[in-house]
Amino acid sequence: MSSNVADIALVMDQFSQSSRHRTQPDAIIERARSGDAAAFDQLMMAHQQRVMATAWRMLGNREDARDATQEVFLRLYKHLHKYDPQQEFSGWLYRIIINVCRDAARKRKNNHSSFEAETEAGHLPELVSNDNSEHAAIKSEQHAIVMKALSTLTEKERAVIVLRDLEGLSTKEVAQILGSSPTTIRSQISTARTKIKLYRDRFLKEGQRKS
Amino acid sequence: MNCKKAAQLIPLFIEADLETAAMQSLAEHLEMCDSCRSVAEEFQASQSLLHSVALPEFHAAAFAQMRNSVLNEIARPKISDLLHPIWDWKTAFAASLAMIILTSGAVNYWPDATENIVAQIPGNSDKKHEFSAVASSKDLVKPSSVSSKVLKPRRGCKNIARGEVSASERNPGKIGTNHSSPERATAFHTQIIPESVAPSETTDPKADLITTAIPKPENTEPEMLRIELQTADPNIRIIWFAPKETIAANTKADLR
Repeated sequence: MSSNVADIALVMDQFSQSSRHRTQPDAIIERARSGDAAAFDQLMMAHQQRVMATAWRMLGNREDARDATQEVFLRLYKHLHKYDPQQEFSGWLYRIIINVCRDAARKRKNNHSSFEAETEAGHLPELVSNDNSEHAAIKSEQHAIVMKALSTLTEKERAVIVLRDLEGLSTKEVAQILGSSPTTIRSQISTARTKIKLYRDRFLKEGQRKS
Repeated sequence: MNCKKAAQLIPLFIEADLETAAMQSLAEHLEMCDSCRSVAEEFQASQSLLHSVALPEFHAAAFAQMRNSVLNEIARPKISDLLHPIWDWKTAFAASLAMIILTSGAVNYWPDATENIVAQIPGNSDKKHEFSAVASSKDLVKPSSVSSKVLKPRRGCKNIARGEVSASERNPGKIGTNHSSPERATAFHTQIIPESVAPSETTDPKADLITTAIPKPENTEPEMLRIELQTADPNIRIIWFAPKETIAANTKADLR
């Protein structure tokens, strides 16, 4: 058990390191703020992967994630003059992503089914196309479990889990992005992780019963 | 730390979301408690599963297309951008205020303008305009329809013969109207005389009758006649009071 505790300590260090994102060079942001389209294009290229990935984790399917990414960059351009260079750009960008994804989820009102739609629509083989078939099947099943487990979370819980566990931000950073206290964020994290574990346990029990 | 407290903290412990002291305390508890350790391992497996999910592959072409869409949208001029140099919230507020003032001014002004126009329309049943309508002699009926008769006792006039001052005498302009104050009645008379009964403008015999429609305040108490004149418009009836002697003299002159 002592080794397990040591592993956890290691994980703690890794997360604290990964939460420190690279800050965007101020020069590009300044040029983009002054209306330089080329600079804004560079800014988009630098952040497009992260924005798309976060949107996909929040919304659960590719189409919605693509639309959300486009909306995020449009809002970014519109509100770039409000950006305070004193604060971290990535945190500010995450706040826009979360807000856009919330709006998109509310607008479509099918965010719960979106997670399942991606799983059932045949996109998963693309994720694991380089693996052998047995490993691919396991990966595919794990992916389906996670996506369905995420669909059981509320909007806030999903945002917290995406930012803390999948994007690797610290609790304090998540609290700043979502405008909550660290205590509230910890409570939401605890609830969300418990829900995911319960879903996994139920899935494993059903699998054992079938076999 | 007991198991109940540990169960609450384990979801946060697995990703080191607790304070250092709590982390240390729970780690010590997990060393001793198999049940709680088992729960913590299940949570760790669940988290491993969560981290195992790979991102889908996003093609570079899709990113390029998305960026182009954004840049095109940004480059497209918008009405708000065109108005921006002159149109801010202060301008909008001032324009809205000006619109409200102009609209309220127009609404306040409009009823007066409407009254002036409506007063020229024969057949208007509004009593306020009844006497203005008399100004047009076209509306008057034939002289034969002019009736003059001795007043029957009526409300507001019945005490004339007994020497009491009636409401209509106190306020001559009240005859057939809703005027309530002497000032308004006076204003009415000064207005109607030049318009309605200028002898040089009409040869209608009724014009003379109309001139008698203006009660002359007298200290004496002559016997009064109520005279009614029905115009072509059934809604307009001219009623006035005059001393009996005056009417008799005019009627005799007309008959000759």
